[in-house]
Amino acid sequence: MKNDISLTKLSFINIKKHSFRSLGLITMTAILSLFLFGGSVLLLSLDKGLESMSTRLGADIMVVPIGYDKEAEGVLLRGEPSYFYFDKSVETKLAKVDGVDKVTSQFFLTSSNQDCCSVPVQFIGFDPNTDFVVQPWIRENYSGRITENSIIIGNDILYDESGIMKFFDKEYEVAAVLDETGTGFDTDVYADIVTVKSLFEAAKEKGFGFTDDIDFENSISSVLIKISDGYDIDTVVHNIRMNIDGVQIIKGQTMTAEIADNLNGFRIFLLVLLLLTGIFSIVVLILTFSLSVNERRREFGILRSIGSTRGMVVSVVIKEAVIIGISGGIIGIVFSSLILFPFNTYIGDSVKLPYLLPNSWVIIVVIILTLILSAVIPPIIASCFAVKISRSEIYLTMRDND
Amino acid sequence: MSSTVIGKNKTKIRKYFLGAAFLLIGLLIAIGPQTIFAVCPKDPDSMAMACYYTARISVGIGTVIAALGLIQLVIRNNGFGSGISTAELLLGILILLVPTILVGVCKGEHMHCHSVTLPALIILGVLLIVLSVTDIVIGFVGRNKRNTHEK
Amino acid sequence: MLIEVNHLTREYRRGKNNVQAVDNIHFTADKGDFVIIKGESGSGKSTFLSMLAGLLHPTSGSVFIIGKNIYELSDKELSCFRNSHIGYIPQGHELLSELTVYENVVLPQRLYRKTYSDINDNADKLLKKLKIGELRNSYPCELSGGERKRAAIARAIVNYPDVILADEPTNDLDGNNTAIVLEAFSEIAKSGTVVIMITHDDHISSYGSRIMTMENGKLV
Repeated sequence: MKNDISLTKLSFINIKKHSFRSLGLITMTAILSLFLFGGSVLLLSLDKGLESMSTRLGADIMVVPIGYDKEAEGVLLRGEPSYFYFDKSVETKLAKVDGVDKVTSQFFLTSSNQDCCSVPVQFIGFDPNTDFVVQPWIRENYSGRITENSIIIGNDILYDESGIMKFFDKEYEVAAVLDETGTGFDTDVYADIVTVKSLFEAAKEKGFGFTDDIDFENSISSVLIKISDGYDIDTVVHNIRMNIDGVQIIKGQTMTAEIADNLNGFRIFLLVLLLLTGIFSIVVLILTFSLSVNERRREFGILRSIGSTRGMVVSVVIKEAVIIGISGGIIGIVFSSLILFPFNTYIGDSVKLPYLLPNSWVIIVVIILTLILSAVIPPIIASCFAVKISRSEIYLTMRDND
Repeated sequence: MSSTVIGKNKTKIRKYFLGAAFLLIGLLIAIGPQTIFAVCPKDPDSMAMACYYTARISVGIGTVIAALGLIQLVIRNNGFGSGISTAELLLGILILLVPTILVGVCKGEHMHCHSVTLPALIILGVLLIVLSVTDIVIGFVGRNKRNTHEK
Repeated sequence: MLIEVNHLTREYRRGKNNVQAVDNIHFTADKGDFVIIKGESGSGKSTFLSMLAGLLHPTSGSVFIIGKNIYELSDKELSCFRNSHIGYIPQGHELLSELTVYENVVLPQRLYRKTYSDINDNADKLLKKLKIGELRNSYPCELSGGERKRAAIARAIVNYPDVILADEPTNDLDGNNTAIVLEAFSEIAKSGTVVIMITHDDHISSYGSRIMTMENGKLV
């Protein structure tokens, strides 16, 4: 039986022959690619979550009852249901403040959803006539108008195929589902204020009292403001403070800025971790390749003595390193994916920051880049040593291991 | 060293590696849903949820998987290998079906059983299937090679 | 002349001193010559042979093989030239331990041929001729010293080179194996190839057509 041999086959044979060392090198490369891929996807997911949150907020300023800014942030960012109220007249007053272009009010209510595992749900009632923050997102999934007793639900709300949800024994038709944002918006249920108010009545009938002394008809939970062109937010905030007491003012950019700060902290932590892992892996790769290439001086000498050029000898080493790099790269990506994608929801909940996986194309690009780096770093390291040996006098190289 | 001796050593290494892997996976499946990737806690005043039963069934299936792994490690006769791998393959498929189709977990995506227990069991099930299929295929190929050689 | 060596010198630095391992050698050899170079350990034989093979650059002087000054060639040209025209048998461990005997022998043929059909399919014939045909699928660690040396000879002649250079090929071999190896060299020389062999064994002079001695870097 004829068996063919080539320098490429020699690379494979060398890897197999030194299986323990090859395994060590593959493991190091796998660790590097695991952190590289995993870290990149984590950061991209956090960035995407922040971006989607900024886009979804819609308003420049949010005004809530005094002392309820933390609850408001909890509703928006972490889907922590809450309810608070102040007088509806605040909306009218705010509309008259210098620098305010548009105002719209919202009414918050929470409920336990009977369809699923007792997770509280946030209802947000809005006025379809003045609203500018909710409807732009609803239109992405629903083409008609919201009618009485119809609701729009966030991505994480469960509903069955009948398209009907039940709250406090009253049925509501699911008109649309919103895109995922990776923030508290995903657990909200939107409806016009008339529908939400009917829910409030149904809740009272079932014995759920929120605060008994609310003047329901004249109460709202928040006012969202769009400022006029040419005005800056701080000026408008100042104007509001000068004209209206008893309210808490939240700047949209402050909320996203705080999250961006937390995200930066996390980003720095990840980058430092990545850097340390990278340095450690590369140092181990350097030491191992250095030992490995030096150990094989006689082998390289024999190859040169039978007519291999310097390039051929270096290519044997480079091919081995590429095979090792790609193998380690694939293993690292697979292990990283086994954690990142199946446990995606848990990771998002744990970091307590807006978290949204990037789309498939972005992930594919990250995979390709990680594989390229894995395939390139080991050969670069190995070739440094191989080139040095290939430049030595062949006769002296052959005698070196004696 | 002759190729026969090398072959026998490789079979032994494969046997111990698989036995240890099956044992570890089995223990994780049995204990995991109660501990490190626990299902939702059971409310004493209300009915048990689907995830509670998934965890209980996993104890049984995981124990059998671990026991087969232990048998693989302890028993000397190499002939049991593909039989045990076939059994582990079927158990791997079963552990995939329990939290997804047969019993299920809570529907809420953010519930702990859905975000942690479910993916953990799926990963362990897939790992079990991959290992057992690999072992069956290697065994099959090896037997074919030996038969050709003997002819 | 197939081989022409002029003023060949090689100096090494040993501590603070310069040592002349090969000292101003003139040498020629033609087709069919079987030259045996004897000398004590450290006389410069291996250094001289390695310079003939293009494996060690001389400090000064020239080596002409088939009319080409090999040290004026680039590394690529010299490597290709060595592959086609020079068969070198190193001292000691000559084979690549991870390849079978057949793979070791065939490897020089594969370096510059693009397709398998380009290979001159003579490796098996050579192995049979050297009485190691049945060991084609064995690994070097499974062979005796004599069998390894014969495999190395097969590798050196697989491309039908013009020159064979053997560094102490009968070192560590018993009488029987030594005889086999020397018979093989004689036959190769008779076919027109120049064979140059170095040894420190005085008892094998009878096989060569020319016997030379190396002493302190000089060829006598």
